[in-house]
Amino acid sequence: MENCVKLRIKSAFSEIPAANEAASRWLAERAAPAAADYFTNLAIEELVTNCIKYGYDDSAEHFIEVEVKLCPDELVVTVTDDGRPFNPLEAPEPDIALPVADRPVGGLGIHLLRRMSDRMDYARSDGKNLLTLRKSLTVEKTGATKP
Amino acid sequence: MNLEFCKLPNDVSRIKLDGSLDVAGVGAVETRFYEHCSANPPRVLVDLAGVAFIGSLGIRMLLQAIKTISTRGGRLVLLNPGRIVDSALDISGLGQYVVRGTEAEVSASLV
Repeated sequence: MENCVKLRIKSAFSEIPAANEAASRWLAERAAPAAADYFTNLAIEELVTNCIKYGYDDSAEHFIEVEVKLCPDELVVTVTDDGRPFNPLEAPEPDIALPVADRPVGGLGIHLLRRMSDRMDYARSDGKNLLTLRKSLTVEKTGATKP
Repeated sequence: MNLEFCKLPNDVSRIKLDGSLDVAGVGAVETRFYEHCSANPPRVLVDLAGVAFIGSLGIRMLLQAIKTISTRGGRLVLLNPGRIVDSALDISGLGQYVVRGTEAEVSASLV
């Protein structure tokens, strides 16, 4: 059974649920843990949404590629887009310790991915953003490895 | 994504969410969710036991409701989220609003 799948997602919000369903189905066929399913869905949801909202200067159709690789001990999700350069690793961390009245309600997507990943790498190559997220499936991180 | 609303005996509003709080799920329930959170008195119990996924949009919806209800001098609690959702709430700084117990117990603690 293949341990890697590539999804090509049109840059439209309406395409996200189908992409998440396809990823979940593929992971379920491989008996992946619930944490792998959650993390993959989170990566697709947050990164594809960000790209559609902020990534493009035109209204042309673009495609965002998501590669999911399931190894025995690790999940690797790579997201590639042809939007404007954006390195999520340089995004400011939200201050979640602020009193609730003073907290902005946004900016949590990248924060969630950072905290739930074991490693994130960014590269800009051939006019594309490549973000690789790795998550261990053996060591619990932030309580999200087991359902 | 499903949303069920009811008033509990001690006038606490109970909102039960089931499904995924993703882009589509939030879009489906957001307007009704805020409407129910505006009920008086501002004491709201949000049952998250049936929520399998939460992304930043879902957390944003909960945070906005907590802010609004706090401003009105009320209280909103998040009841019995599953482990992964609980983890996402904790990472987002909403862990202090998570409560465990039966609906009756938690509801009574809000009065």
